[in-house]
Amino acid sequence: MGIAFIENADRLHTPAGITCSVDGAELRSFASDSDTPRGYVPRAILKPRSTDEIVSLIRWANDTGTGVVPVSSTGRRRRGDTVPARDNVVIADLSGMNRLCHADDRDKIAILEAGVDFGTVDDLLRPYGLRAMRPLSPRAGKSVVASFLEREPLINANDHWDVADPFGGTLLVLGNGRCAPTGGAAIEGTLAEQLARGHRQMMPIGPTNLDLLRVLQGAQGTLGLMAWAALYCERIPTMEQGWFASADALEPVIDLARELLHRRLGNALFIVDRVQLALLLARDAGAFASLSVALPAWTLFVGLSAGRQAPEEKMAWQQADLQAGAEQHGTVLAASLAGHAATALGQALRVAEPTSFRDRAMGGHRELFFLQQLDRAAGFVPLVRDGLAKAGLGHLPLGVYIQPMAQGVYGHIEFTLPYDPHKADDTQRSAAAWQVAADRCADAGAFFSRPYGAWSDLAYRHDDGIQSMMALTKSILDPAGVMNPNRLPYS
Amino acid sequence: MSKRIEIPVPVRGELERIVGARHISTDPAMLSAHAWNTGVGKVPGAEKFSGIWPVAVVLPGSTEEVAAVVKCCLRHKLHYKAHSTGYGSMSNACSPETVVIDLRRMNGLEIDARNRMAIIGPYAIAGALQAEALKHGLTCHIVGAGPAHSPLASATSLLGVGVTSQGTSMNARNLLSWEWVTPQGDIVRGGTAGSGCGWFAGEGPGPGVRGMIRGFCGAAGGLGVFTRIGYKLYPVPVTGPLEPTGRLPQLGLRIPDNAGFLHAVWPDWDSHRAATFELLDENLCFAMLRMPPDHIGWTVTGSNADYVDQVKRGTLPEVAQPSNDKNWTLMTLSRSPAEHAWRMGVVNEIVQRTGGRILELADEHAEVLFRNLFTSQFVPRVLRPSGGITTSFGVLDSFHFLPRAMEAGQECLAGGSLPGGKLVEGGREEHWSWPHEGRYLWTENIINFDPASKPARIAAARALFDHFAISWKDPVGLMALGLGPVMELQGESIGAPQRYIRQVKNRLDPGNASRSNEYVLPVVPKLVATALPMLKPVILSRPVLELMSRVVGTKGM
Repeated sequence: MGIAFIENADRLHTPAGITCSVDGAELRSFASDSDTPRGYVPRAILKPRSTDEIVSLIRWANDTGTGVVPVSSTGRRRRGDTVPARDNVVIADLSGMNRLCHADDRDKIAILEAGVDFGTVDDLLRPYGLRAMRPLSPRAGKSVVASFLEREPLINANDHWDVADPFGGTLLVLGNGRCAPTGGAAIEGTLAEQLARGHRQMMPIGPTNLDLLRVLQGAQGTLGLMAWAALYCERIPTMEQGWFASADALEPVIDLARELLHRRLGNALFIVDRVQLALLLARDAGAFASLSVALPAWTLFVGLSAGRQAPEEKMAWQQADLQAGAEQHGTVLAASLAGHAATALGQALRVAEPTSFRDRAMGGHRELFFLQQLDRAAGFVPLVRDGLAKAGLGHLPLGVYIQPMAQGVYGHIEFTLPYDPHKADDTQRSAAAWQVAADRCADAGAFFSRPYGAWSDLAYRHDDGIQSMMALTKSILDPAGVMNPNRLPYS
Repeated sequence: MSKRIEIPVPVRGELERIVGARHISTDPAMLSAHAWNTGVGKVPGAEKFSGIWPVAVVLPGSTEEVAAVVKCCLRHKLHYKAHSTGYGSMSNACSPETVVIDLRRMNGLEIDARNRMAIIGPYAIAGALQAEALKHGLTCHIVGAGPAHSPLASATSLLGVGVTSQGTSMNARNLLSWEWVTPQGDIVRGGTAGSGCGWFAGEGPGPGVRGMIRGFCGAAGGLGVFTRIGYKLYPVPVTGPLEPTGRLPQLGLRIPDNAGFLHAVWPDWDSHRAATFELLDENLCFAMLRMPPDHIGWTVTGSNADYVDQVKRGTLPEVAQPSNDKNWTLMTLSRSPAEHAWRMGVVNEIVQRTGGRILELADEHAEVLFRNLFTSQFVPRVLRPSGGITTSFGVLDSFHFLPRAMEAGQECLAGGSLPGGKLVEGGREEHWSWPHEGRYLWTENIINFDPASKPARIAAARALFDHFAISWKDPVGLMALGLGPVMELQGESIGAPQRYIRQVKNRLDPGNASRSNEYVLPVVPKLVATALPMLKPVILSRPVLELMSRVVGTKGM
């Protein structure tokens, strides 16, 4: 494919036809995020509108030795993975590729472009009787595809069979500038031709001996971009209710969660401590302060749903089984806590807001998350709490969120430290204490599957040969090293 | 048999020092067991032994010993091939310089019941794993090959689909953390095991590099040796061994409380498909299986003679009648009477509303079919008539394709399994179909033939090749067998995955010491790579397909 170039004001020759911004304020906005105070200012922001334009962009980057940092979300970013880690980089902003390409209610699957965000996805899917699977209360501007590409845990724990969920087939553009259809998309013909034949791109794995979707998941844009993805969806239930199952200790709550997962009961299911639940429920600092003392120590949120098949009967046995399980494991089942109905929380979780719920109470937060098995989760809580106390930060609230993954084989364990970013002392000391907490968790067996920022050192300190595989992967898929350079330790 | 190569005495001595003298053999009687060339997926030649026998067989007892064996082979310019249970002949040596690394001593099996997973070695067989898991109210996915297969081999190196995939997924998705001896003899641990955090997750830190070495299919021994994995298990409302019923060979299992086991049939594929979408909508069933009626007949009869006798006398039960081919065997598993009542009520309602009916099953037949489905025991039944089967299709897409897949299955068998045909007598098509995770369709058209008959082998090869031609002309979902040389023909039209796979192979194994016929071709001259896709219409033309069928039917594959 021949690529024509245009010359913009900064004498950056970018591929013709791709919208390009060199606005200084916009460029500078990409040089930092909530967790990363200083990065490099990109040279331009390129806004492709099609797969062909993405391909042109990546080939241009290869030809010119320009780095490319992919960004699909809008709004306040964090974790540093979209902040350029070297100079001579452009941003590939896919947020304008926000079409719903196709949806099929019979197979409960939809094809979304990379820029569709959680603020709009359910509106797009509603006419088909579908809604998106989702992580815990994502912000509105978060790209659905990017979220799953980064292995964000789903609250739909029973539908999370494997880390690739909810992906079906996808279309990748690799760092070498070539398109790579994956899974069910790796079949002859254009997408339109495939759809016309009846293909629904339902297979997440392959083609043949390769699984590039799995490779690009967790790669933080260092190997390629995803133009579109087939994503499994939920059918909008006929009936739905939420429940809280609470206890003073974490273990009974985890035991109940395990039991429900074994029964595949609940379309949404996660565990929070009183601070994290207060963050989810409160609309302001005052409500957060009162809720974070009024709520039970640990709570399992369970969403029950029923579809089109005898929904009343299904709800009845699910409620009975949930009630029996809650009693058996010594938890208290309630439809509401401190005046907040669980069903209302379930509905609120489907409404994405511009800012993260974790920032609502105090204006900012720190996060620490990793993977470990559910029966080891409780051991990390005192580690982090004690660390904060030793750092003189015992006055700050600490939230805990545990999301069972792979149907309960393991969990995402997340700590949230809300703080007021205008209090310089808290800000500085919490940064140091947080790194210590990460170290202590790593020593105790935390697996940093998603190694953002400083966690990268922790994640790779036990390298057992995997970095050589990473280097091999990078050299094959992005041989010129244009994708998000210096982000992950490939060499 | 190819000309045998003797392993040099010093090399044998080195291997003995690694694995111990009693764990190495060059005895032809032992080697013959590693050159058996039938099994699923193979069309043998006139002899049932492979033309290539290994130079030696070694039995390492640990990952470190495997790594040392690999390095020893590399030092002495020998090839090597991993062998777990050897069910299929994919583990056979691919060159006469091959040392077979038989992993049967590495049979570790540890159940982590609270976290619904197991940590297993290559020779922890599925039947043993299921028996241990059931003690904790768990079961495992068992691929179509049956309980004697190695879940590790399936999860890391082959396909991994099986009749309970509706409830137990497939093995590419059941693989958790993994330990691997690379083609250069280095030990790599992926995911959590690499960070010393356990065996529960296989991806990260960062990218999921496993995707470079295991896609829909693994490398079939073409990329080193996998030695230990974390493996996902599935909860069932049953604890301990199920109660056996019947007598050999018609062993059954008592259907547990709150379990449903039904066989429903529909008048046409459209109504069958309409029912399927509804049955999948709320994951009503733990397992759904469509079998050709003749294969059901092979299962509910104790011998071939009994089956043939009942066909002649017209006494086959209704489930095995050819007219009842638009069928589902449905298994529901519930935890309470109320849940059971809901599942069964909804299933019955869907069947009736979509024009289907539920057949009456005699207890003995229901129990035999239940056992075969729950423990994936069908393979001996399917091999019983002839001892030779190969397979075709895959689909891995919407159930939209089910009627078309059935038509295509019929086209590729071309009457070969009807009376007077050269294949084993059965139906117009021989599709085994089931859903995965409540989502997509897997269906494979079984090609059943007499391996001792050259015309039958040729007919089987022709049916296999025809399925490629049919699938490429009008894609019926994804082709499961788009592997190795086949991908050289197809790859350029689907993103050229073979180019990346070849790079992986050549970078990790530049001397092709870890040799497999079922993995990518390490070298394809540029001219050939360019010409092959263009030659596809010629290769798929009737005269060429006929010629290839004759060659395969004569020489074996």
